[in-house]
Amino acid sequence: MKILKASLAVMIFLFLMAAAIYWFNLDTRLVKALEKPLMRHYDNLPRDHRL
Amino acid sequence: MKKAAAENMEAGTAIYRHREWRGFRDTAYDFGKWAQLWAILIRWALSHPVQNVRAVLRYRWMFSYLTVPSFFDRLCAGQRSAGLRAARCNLNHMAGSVTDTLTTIFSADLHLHPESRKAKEKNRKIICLDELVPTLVAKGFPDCEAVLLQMYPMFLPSLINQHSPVHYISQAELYGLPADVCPLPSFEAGLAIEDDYPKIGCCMITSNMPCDGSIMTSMIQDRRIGLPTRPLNVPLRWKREEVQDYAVAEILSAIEFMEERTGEKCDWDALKDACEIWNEQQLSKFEKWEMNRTAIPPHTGASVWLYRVFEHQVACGDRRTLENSRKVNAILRKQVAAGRCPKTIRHRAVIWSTPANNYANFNNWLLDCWGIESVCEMFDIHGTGLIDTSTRESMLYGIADMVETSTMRAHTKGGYEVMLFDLWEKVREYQADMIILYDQISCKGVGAISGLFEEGARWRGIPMCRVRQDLLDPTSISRRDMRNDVNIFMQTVMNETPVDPSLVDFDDDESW
Repeated sequence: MKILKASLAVMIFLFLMAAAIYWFNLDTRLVKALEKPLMRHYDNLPRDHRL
Repeated sequence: MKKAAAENMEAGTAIYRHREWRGFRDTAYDFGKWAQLWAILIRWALSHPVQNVRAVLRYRWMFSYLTVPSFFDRLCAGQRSAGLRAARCNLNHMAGSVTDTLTTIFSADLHLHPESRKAKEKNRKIICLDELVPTLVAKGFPDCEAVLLQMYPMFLPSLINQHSPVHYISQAELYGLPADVCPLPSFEAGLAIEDDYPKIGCCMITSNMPCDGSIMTSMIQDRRIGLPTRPLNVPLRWKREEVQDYAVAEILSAIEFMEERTGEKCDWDALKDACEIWNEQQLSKFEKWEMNRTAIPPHTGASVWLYRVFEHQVACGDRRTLENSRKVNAILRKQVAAGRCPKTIRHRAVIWSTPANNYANFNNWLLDCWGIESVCEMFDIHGTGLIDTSTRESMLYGIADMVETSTMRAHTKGGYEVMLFDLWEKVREYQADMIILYDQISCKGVGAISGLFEEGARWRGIPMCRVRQDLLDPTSISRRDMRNDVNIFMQTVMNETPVDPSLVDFDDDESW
């Protein structure tokens, strides 16, 4: 019974978290925050342009 | 839809402050599909975590795939009921297929696994195809994987993130290549110059595309990719009877080449099965077109043509894709039967010429802002034949026809009359009262006949709005510029007021 209650609580928590991420578009904001550092990283990669 | 959609967007990035409220049922459905999409992405990420992180850090274009949830939101903007459900089903199905292929690519990629014997072994069974060659031609090799080499680093990222081509186009121009060609081949050339194609495959089937950009890019790509290559020449005047034997000979020659390079024999039964599945996919598509001819067109929006390109080029002859198409048809059928139309439609438009990759959700904006419903889109209606699988010979003729009518061939090759006359036919079939004609400024072929479109529309009395675009280069013509072309036309020629005034002008230059 205790396990059932605990797993139910975890599921409700996960659902509420997912719903908050969805509604407030937090996934998009996180990726937006990653954009600049990633672009800097790509710019600094050594490239071989010889063809 | 709340009639102030732009107020929910942040200036510049156009990131939604919160996701769209579509009523309880549709929002709950959208939430479920969003969660499903993340499950697909997380499952992919965790399947080979180290390899995938290395891929994200190695390839600039991989960043675009991180923005896919936002891309899907844009493609579903303003959609309700069956339209929303169909779009979300199609998009999530594509996400599943693309992540599977990315796993295939990265597991064999010698950039990520240099000197790996396992990767080299996998490459022996990977056939690379030009993105304009449908994978159906390689379905006779069921033990091999056919990968459209440019599809994953170039075509899809250019749709998902409008900024993804800019760096590569700049590289091509810095290298000394001409700046006035179509940005699609420039992007391809830039990828080759930057060495950003995955290093995979045992051979490559390319295709002929008679434009200045393609001729320019093919030698650059050939030098970088360095695989044994066989060009699959597709007749340009594909409607003529006398070229069909040549088309079949080319398909056979490509099959022989794949046999030589993979060491496998073509399994004609497997090819026949794939052709029969493709026929079913076609029938499913024909039904969607039929439904769009009704007064309640249920299957519209940008995801429609995107899915069609994916289905025709990547997922032709794929049973799982067929099942998804049938599921979507069942959803659409219900709405048509119920006679419900959950959107404001003022005009039924045929959208003609190549859509702008850098503004994939333009169709959604047309509907949400001006009530212009894209009942028929040129990129959605290519390939109308079925393959006769009764004999090997008839099957080969059918496959040749399928290749001849693939993306970027059915209308833009075959002589000016193919693209021109089919437009008037579609206007009649779909009872359209308006044409949106993309004016891709760097496509010389279509640009040469733009006067004929204008003359034809004037003579028939059909309002035709020209929208300038540069396919996938947002630095020459922005999304805002494209919207402005429609705004001016609707306000001055049509003398109309917008359905949602907030969407007439807003800043989304920094949006993906």
